[in-house]
Order: sequence, then C-alpha cells, then structure tokens
Amino acid sequence: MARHKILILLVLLVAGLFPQVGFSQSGRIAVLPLEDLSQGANGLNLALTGQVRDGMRDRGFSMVPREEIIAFMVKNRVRWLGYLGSSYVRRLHDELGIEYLVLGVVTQRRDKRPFALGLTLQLIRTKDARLLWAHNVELCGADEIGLLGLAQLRDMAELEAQVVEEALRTIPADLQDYGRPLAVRDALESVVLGPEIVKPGDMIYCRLKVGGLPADLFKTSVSIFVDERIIEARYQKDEKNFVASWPAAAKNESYPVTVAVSSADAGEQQEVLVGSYVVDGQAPMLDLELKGQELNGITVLQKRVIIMPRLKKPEPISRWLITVRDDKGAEVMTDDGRHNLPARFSWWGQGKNGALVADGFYNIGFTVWDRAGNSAQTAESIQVIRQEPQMALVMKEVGKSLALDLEYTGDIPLAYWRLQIHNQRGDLLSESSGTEESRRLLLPLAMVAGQDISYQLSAQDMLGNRLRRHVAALVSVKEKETEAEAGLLTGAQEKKTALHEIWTQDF
Amino acid sequence: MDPRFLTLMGMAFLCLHLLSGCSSTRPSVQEFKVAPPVQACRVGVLPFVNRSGYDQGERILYRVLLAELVSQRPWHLALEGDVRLIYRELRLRPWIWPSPEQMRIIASRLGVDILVGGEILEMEEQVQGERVNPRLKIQLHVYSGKDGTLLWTTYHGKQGTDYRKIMHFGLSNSVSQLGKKMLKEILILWEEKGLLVCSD
Repeated sequence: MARHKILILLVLLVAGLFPQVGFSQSGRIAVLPLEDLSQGANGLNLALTGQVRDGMRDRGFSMVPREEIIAFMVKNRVRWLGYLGSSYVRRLHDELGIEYLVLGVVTQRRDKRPFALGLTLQLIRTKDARLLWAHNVELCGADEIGLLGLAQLRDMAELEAQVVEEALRTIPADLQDYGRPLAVRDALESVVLGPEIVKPGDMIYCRLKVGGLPADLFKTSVSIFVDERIIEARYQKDEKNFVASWPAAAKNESYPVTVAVSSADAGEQQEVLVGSYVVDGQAPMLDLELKGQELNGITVLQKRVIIMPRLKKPEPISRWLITVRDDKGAEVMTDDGRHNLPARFSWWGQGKNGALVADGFYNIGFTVWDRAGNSAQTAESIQVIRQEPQMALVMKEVGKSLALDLEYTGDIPLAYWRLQIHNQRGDLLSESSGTEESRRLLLPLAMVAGQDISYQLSAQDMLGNRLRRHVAALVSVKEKETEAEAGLLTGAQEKKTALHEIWTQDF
Repeated sequence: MDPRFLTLMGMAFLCLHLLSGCSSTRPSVQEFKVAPPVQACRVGVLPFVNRSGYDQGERILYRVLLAELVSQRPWHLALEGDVRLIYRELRLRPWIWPSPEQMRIIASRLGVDILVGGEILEMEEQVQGERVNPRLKIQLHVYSGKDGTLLWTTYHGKQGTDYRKIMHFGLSNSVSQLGKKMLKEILILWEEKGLLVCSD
C-alpha cells in the first residue's frame, strides 16, 4: 500500500514538473499572421500572432519559423489574412511539409475601458484541408469584476495574455488521431465558366485548374457534361490548366455544367456541378409610351415630354440607348446607359448643345440589349410647336360704350386669356378673363372719357406657349369726340403707339 | 409558521427577482421543408449578410459560427477560403443571397450536404460609462445542398443584459461575446429539435 502511495506521488510530481508532456506533438505547425477585424478589412495583428505562436511552442508544438510563412505567402501571392483555400492549404503540406495550419482572427478589440478582446483560432490539417478544431474567446474587462472589484484587469496586455491562454487551452493534446481523414476529392481548384448568358450558337468557354503535380496532369483527363454532350478539356502546359469550349445549343433554357476529373492513379472521381449558363435567343419585347399633350393624333411637346420605355416581359437589361432625330434623320439628342432600364426619361426639347430645337417633327428611338446581346428597338414621333398665341384686340365705340373685341386665330386650343385695362394713373378700370377664342367686352364711355388708357393682355395655349402684351398709352378718349375720331380706336392705331410686347415661352 | 420568517423569505425572493435578469427569450425556428431532420455531415457556411451597418459584423459572426459549429461536433466544415473562391468564380456578391441554382453549384463544388447562411438584422454596442450593452438580432438560414431549397430559418434577438444572472454577473459585454452565446443557443436548439443529424 505504501509503495502504491509513493508511485502515485511520483506520478503527480512528474506531472506537476513537466506539464507539457501530454502535448508531445509530431509534425510542424504554421501560424499565419492573425487578421485583426478591429482595424477594418484585412487588418494585421503581429503582436498577438507572436503570442499565439509562443503559446503553442510552450505546449510542445513544433512551430514553423515566421520567415518561412511570409515567404510562402509572398510566393503564392496570399494577400489576405484569416482564411485560406484548400489548394493553398495543401500546398503548405506538399511544398513545405507543414502538417497543421493555425488561422486566427481578432474579432473585436477595445483599447479603452472596459477593455475587450475577441480571438478566434482555427486549426486545419493540411494533408486533407480539414478544419479540425476552432475556438472562440471573448473577454471584456467588465467580465472580470469580482464582488469587490478585486479581479479587475489593469491593462490590455493582461487581457491579451488571458485571451491567448484561454484560446489555446482547449487545443487537442494529440492531433495525430484527431478528426477522421477526408478523402481529397476536390481535385478541382478553380473553375471559370462563361459567359453566363449567350445566344444560340455562341461559344461557351471553360477554364479549369486541377490540383496535383504538373507531371501527373498529363495523365489526367477532364470531362465536361452539358446538354447530353461530353466535352473533353484540353490540357494547356503553359497555363497549367484545362480548357474547353463548345457552341451553345439552340433551345432557350438554363444548362447545368458538370465536370468529372479522372487520373490513372485515382480513377474517375465524382461529378461536380461547376456552374450553369443560360441560352437566350429571344429579343426583349419593348414598348414605348410618350406622355404629353396629344394634338391631331400625335404627341406634342408641352414644356417636356415624358418617355416611358417598358418591357412587356421583364428581364435584366445590359444596356439601352435613346436617340432623338429630326425629320431629316439628323441626331438631335442621344443618351445611353448600362444595366437597369430607367422607368422614365424627360426630353425638354433641347439639342445636344442645350439650345431649344426648331419647330417640326422628331423621332424618338429607343433600343435595349439583353444580357445575351439580343436587341429590341421601338420609336415614336413627336411634334414641337413653339408659336405665340395669335390674339388680336380691336376697340371701337358702340353706342355709349367702348367695345373691346378679342379674337384668337391660332390652331392650338387656347388654355386661357386675361385682359386688364388701366388709365394713365395706373388705376385698374376693367379686368376680365376666359377661355373662349372670341369675346366682346364693353366699357361705358363715361368711365374712360378724358383718360389715356392702356391694356395688358396675356394668353396661353394648351402647349404652354404664352403671350404677354403690354400696350401703354393706347389712346386718349376725349369727351364728346366725333365718330371719325372714335373710329381711330382700332388695331391700326395700336401700331402707332409705343408697344411693349413680351412673348415668353416657358421652356 | 412564524410570520416574521415568512416576511423575511418573501423579501429575499423579491431581492433575488430584482437582482436577477430575465433571459427567457429563445431562438425561434421556422421549418419550411416537410421532413427535416437532414442527414448532413458536411456543412458549408455562406458569407453573412450584414444589414446592421456594424463594421465587419458579418466577418465576426462568420468566424464565431464556424468555431461554434466545429466545437459542437466534428462536422466536415468547408473552409472559408473555398467558399470565397467559389463566390468569386460565380461573380456573387457576399451581401446577396445566391439563387437555388447557385446554392446547388456552391454545395456541389464544396462537397457539402447543407449550406448555412447568416443575416445580421441588428448589431450595435451601447456604451454606458464603464459598461457596454451589445444588441444583436440575427437569422440563420439553412439550405439543402441537393436542390438549393430553404430548409429552415432561425431568428434570435438578444442584448447583453438578457444574460444577467445576478447583479452584473453573466452580462455580455461585447457583440462577439453576445454573438457566441446566441449562436451556441441556436445550435443547441437545432440539436434538441433533431434538425441536423450526422451518423458519421
């Protein structure tokens, strides 16, 4: 019994003196520089990387020197941190004889109180690129406060040491028997297939990179299965990849593409769905709607015209083009764009230089191309009319009244008119408005007798063309004047007076 | 019984109730397919979609989920580098969900049975003096690798104070800490419901 006690004591003593005995590891382990997300995308934390490496070395792991890792990253152009693809992982095994890889990410870091640090570590077996172990540790200064606040962290360095220690605490003691080995099935390292959408008969190209030594690739065959066809990919020695191309079928549908890699050693591997492409031979169905004032069956520019292209059967568009041409076919305005079709366009009747275009007929053409390159075109006509509303005012004496006859002679329907009569002092003698094309207004002669009168006439047609006419000191209406004198109150006399006609168009 | 003793006990219970937090919110699962569980030993995790505006939130939770999955049981997890490579080759943007067809391609290329995708709906840290109260709302979507269909979705939303046990003990003080707890709860729920089965 005493001998047993001594034996147990000896075991405990040895275990206490040499705590790393349980971590006797074979195989080299590489620690890639830790990514630090607290510094944004692709941030780097070399200090913690060193701590993790030291912590693992203390546990008896055989660590790969940092310089060797950096050289590998430079050689293989690894410009990112925190993750690595299987092909790179296996390259570590094949080229550098590294057995395990440690990837780490600082998920969170708060340098001011309360300090916080999050660390995630992953351990990957390089032989089969299997993720064996991963562990998250997130500690915060506020977590550690005891009942009396005695265990509060003093600084960030203390927290870093705690986090690394905690993160490595659960790493498997013996990695040799940890995690069942995976069959290395993904011989395909990368696949580039395109274009995604094609017209019938267009060529599809596929470039595949297959893992393995260059000498073995000569004995490897890569078969592509698509649309009940088998296409053998050719090996390109210079590029060290396999390429294949084939014409797209005539039927409009989606075609999945699967690949099988077979080598003399491993035999044929499982088929892998690597992508798909769509054959689209149908042109988009395009409809063009113009929103504006319609006159005699044609849309007429009214300040602007709204052009609304619409796909009858919605589908993604690769580009579009809108062109406005005059009746001689000359290009007046053009615009184009990629991807989404705008819901509406506005044309303000201006040319490329910004100047207003001349009156006449114009053709608005719209073309769209879908992703396969099928195009559809449609066009609509529009008329531009910019004329001052033709309105005349004739005055004559009728009995004891002064008659003012308004007459509209234009072709475009009138929207409104307004007439104001003033005396020489600016007093408003009369004001009237309406939408009729002819109208007689009567003013009592007694009201205007002995005064110089003037008038302001404004009118607008349905297209927005405006007339603003201001005639000052039209005539002096004398008391008891003769009919002959009164007869002079005509449009002819208006021309003799100082006229201030302002014609504006709201374009 | 002595009424003074009863009063004392009542006060003690009241104090305990006031000091302790209430963390009864559990993740909620919505199943879409008729017959989960799914036999899945190989799992691929798709890049998280971050709708919160929290910088790098999607990458934080991605790594945390990967670690929690491999800690829970030895799934054959696809490497993040492989997932990203396939996204690049398929010209997929990480913040847009792949179509069912693309899901099938990703699963086939990775050689996985299911794909897990995450969506961060809300992620923030409210600093209150020496304390930080993180808030997180996430959704995990699980897709079939065979046909790319959505199998089930799990929603979970919590804040750091929800994990309070007594006084300040148990509080989560960072989003990564909170995310870890929440993801662990989701994985436990999936296990309880028997949604993911691997007889490997």
